[in-house]
Order: sequence, then C-alpha cells, then structure tokens
Amino acid sequence: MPAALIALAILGGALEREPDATFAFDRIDLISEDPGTWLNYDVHYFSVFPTSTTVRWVSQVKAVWRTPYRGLHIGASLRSQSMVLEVPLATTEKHGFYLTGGAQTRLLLPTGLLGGLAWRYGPVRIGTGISAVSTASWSHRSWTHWQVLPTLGLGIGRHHAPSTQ
Amino acid sequence: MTFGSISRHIPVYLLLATACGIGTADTAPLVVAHRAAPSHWPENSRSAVRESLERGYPAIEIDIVLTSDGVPVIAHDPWLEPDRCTLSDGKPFGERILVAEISSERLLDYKCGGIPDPEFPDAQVLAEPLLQLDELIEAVRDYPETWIQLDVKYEPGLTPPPEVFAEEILGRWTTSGLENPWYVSANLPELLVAFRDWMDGDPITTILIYPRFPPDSDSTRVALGTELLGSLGIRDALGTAKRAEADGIAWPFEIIDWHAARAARDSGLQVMVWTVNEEKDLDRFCRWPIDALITDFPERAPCLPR
Repeated sequence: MPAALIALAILGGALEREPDATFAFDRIDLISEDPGTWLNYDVHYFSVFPTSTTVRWVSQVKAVWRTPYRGLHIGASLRSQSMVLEVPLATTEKHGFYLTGGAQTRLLLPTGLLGGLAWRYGPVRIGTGISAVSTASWSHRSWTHWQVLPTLGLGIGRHHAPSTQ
Repeated sequence: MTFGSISRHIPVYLLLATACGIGTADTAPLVVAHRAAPSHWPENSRSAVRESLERGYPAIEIDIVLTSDGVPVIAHDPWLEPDRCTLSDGKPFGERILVAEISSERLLDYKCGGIPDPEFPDAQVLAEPLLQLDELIEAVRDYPETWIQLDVKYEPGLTPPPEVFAEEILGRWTTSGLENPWYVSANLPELLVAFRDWMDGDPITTILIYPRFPPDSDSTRVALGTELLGSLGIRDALGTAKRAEADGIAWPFEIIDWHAARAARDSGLQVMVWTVNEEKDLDRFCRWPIDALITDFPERAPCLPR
C-alpha cells in the first residue's frame, strides 16, 4: 500500500490541469491491463471453463475517462479501479505512443501498480507493460503477497488525434 | 527501426510478452476418491469404503452427519433422500428424514444405495445401512497409508452445532489410534474453528471448502454471486480461509480463482480442486500446481499411482 500511495503522490506532482477541460469518456478496455489476471490466468482455460472465463472477462472490462488533468485517466471495472497517467513519447496526427504508469485498487483499496507503454491509433488503444498486483481485498486486507504479471490491454473509444491529448 | 515498423510489430511483441500461465506442478496432486468413488459403488457406502481401500486409492473423502444421539454416520446430506434410500425392507418412504432427528438405532431401519443413481449408471446398486464412523475407523485400520478426508456436513438449523461435531468426531478419531494421515474439511469456517479449538493445540489440518453451496441452493446463482463478490473483493476464498485459520482451500474446479490459488500456495496454504470427472480435465489438473484432486472417477486420473 505505501508503494501505491507514493506512486499516487508522484503522479500528483506531475499533473497539469488543462484549461477548460472536463471529465470525458475515453474508451472501453475490452482487455484491461489492470489487474492483468484474466489474461494471465483465466483466458488459457476458456476451453475448460467457458462460463467462468467469460464471467471474469466481463468483470475486467473497464470504462475509462479522461480527467481535466493532462494525461490522467481513471478507469473502473468490477475487478479493478485504476488511475493511470499517459505521457506522450511520440505522436503524429494518426499515432500516439505513450509511457503509462498508475495505481490500481479494488473498491478503492490500493492493491497494486502498473506501468508500460501504450499505442493509440484513432479509436484503438493497445497497451502493454507490467502489473504488480497484490491479493489484497476488503475481505483480505494483506499486502504480503505480490505477483508481477505481464499485461496486454485493448481499448476502443473515441476517435481523437493523439497529438491533442 | 522506425516508429512505424515498431507499431506494426507491437501486437506480436505483446502476445509474446503475455504468453505465460501457471507452471507445471512439481509433484502430482493427491488423488482423492470423492465420497469413496460413487462411480463404482453407492456413494459413502460401506461397500464403497471397503472397495476403495482394497483398490488402494491414495485417499478417500467421506461425509459425516450426526444422529440425534450424536453418533457420526457417513452420509452426504443432513437427511435421508427418498430417491436414494428406502426402508430396510426395500419399501419407499415419503419425504426427507432429517438424520439429526432420528437415533442411530432407528437409522438401522433404513438402507441407502439400493436405488440406481442416474449420475453413475455403471455403479453397482447395493442397499446398505449407513456406515458409522466407528465402523469406518475399523475399516481403515488395515490401510494406514490411506489419506482420509473427513468432510463434515454441518448445516445451521439442520444439524447440531460445530462443537458437538467436534466432540463426537474428534473424540472417536483421536482415541482410535489410527495411523492414517487425515484432514477435516467443511464449508463453514466456524466448523473448522471448533475442530481446531477442540484439538487444543494438537496438530490438525483443516480445509475450507469455498464457496459454500447450501443444501438445495441454485449452484449457478451461488457461483455467480461468488464471482461478483470475489471480483469486488468484498468476500473471497483467501480472506475467508485466513479468518478461519484454515490450512487449505478446496475450490470447485469450474470457478477456481487461479490468482488467489497461486497466492494461497505461496503463503503455505494447500489447494484442492473438486470434483473433476472428465478425463481431459483430470489430465490437465494432474499437471497443475495443486495439492489434491478430488474425483468420482479415480482411475481416470493419470496421476493416480498404479
């Protein structure tokens, strides 16, 4: 938990409020980078457990909003709620390539961190990176066990020019 | 390499990066004959226990309920089912009979297993009185290497309280002098707590069965509710097991949470999976990192010692 709080503080220091910006829908992550457990644990077993794999897929589908702060996004699925900062690395009119980092929670209980790279092309966003996720939950408030998982995200949302983000 | 060429290959890199999963188990799981293998004999019956022991299954799981005079008997449900049991003369009886409301002597007026079980059409059909725990203890005495899973069927409102189960079961088991390795399982944490309290510091292994499927409940509804609460983190297996100070968790294989299962194993908890019956599933689970694999068809498991 302290690591998540430190990360939030770092993110907070890097934030810059955009004039006249408001909260706006950004995208739906059909495959979410946080917590990353569906892709790492469940999807492999679709042929064995199609129902539970599908239910868990639904629970990780995440709605993401842009905030008035430059590059800061908040997302929420049943499984995870996250705050992620996207810093542009290279952008053109069509493409955007971003460094991402943020914190993930379960019902706002800090549970982990994530970081990586994202690529945007029109309405499509693909992200990849690392999710450091604990098993902490409101049922089990313990941060003693962590797993570091590679992640892959696939989001579809508003079509906007990356360079204006 | 240009930005464009990188972006063209990004999907490939990403797929490679996420090509991971649960590793292969370092040792094969213990194969447990669920209800003493109802694929061959009536579940939990004296024939099933005797034959399972003779076949050399490494472990057998039996369910325990209490009669009104506190005698532990081997049965899965807190009641006698008319579609499974009859009067001792073979005649049917009308409605469910709560085992906790009849004495061990009156229980002899009934036999179970004499009606074919449609779930196991190839199983033998044998009408027998329910097996008592004392008889089970004598039966397993000659098979000291066989693991015994005592699955205690405590149901609030239908059975005596956990402390009575602990007294009647552990009182017999611990004084029997059996050498068999054994563990207790239940789907309510308070039962495991009562058993550990009764042992008063002596070693006992307790396994939480998660989630709890109350009698006559809609299993789909329970599973979906478990998924929802687990997703939100409001109630999950790990938290429930930790609060109960259980030594392990037994999940139904259809809804096992592998993230939690891996964390459970990392933290020293045992992970068991029930009830896996298809050959392809048994083949998979024999290679997965779990401690015990509970099945109605032990012979189908490739990891069953031959």
